[in-house]
Amino acid sequence: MAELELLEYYKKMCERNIVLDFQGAISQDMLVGMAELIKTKFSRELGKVDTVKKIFSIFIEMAQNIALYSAERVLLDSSDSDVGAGIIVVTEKNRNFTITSGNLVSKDKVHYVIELCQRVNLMSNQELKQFYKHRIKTFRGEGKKGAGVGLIDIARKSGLPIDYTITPVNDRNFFLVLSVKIQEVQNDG
Amino acid sequence: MDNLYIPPTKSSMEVHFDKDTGILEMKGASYPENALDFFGPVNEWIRKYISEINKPMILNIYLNYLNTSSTKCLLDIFEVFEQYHYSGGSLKINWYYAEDDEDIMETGQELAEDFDFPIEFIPY
Repeated sequence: MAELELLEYYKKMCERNIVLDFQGAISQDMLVGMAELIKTKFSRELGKVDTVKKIFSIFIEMAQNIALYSAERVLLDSSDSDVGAGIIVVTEKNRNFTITSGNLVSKDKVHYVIELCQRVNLMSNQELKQFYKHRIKTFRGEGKKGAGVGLIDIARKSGLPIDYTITPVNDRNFFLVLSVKIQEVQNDG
Repeated sequence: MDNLYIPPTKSSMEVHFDKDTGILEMKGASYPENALDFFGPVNEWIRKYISEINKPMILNIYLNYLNTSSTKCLLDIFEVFEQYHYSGGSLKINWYYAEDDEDIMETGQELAEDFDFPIEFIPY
């Protein structure tokens, strides 16, 4: 039974062109391992620095968003502070890449994320640049670990709208899904 | 004060600051777990150098990737440099970038846009 389920899972992953799929606590070691894997794999397959760097940097910002902001916290042995848990999936089809992340966000914070997505999705490249520059200088977030510009940076690098959905999972949290598309950079290298 | 050396890891840059020559080097990729923790001693060393030694500085940057929280920390360092520059300190930044890596060159150019200290972009 278990073997059969795994085979189904394997087939589904292949059908959906999943190149990386991780669910759990995003420790720094895990993040570095996945980022390195993405860089190595796509450098070999694409050979184009610009596209690989876009995928690499969007992946890191999305994974670090989970690590920093997920409402699901896990205490790891190797660290004295907790890390966020969630799911992150990278797919590739005909050289179109999608990175999708999912994690719990508390009720009182979820609208902030959604409003930020809506705001950046309406902005031109020039507006995004100004917004990024203003915010990186002025943002003082909780715990101060992040710069508060991850989503803006992702939107700038992707050049396409960020897809988002929220689903209530209990009376405290929503499950937030963010999906970012990356198209291969043409005529570079 | 001492020289500052921080060995590289896969997600943090190599830092080599020499108080005797005034040559500061940053190399590699930067996306540490906590950028503020990483950059704290780097920023502190520069402030100390300015207040105690106050001689010309050359910062050679050979970075290939900065995540957003590292970018913010580097911006904070640039602000220290700007004050130094305005108070008459001698400073030059050389931002080296791989010839085919426009992304990191653009990151550097955007960072430098609002500052007046000399910065040069050099492909290698």
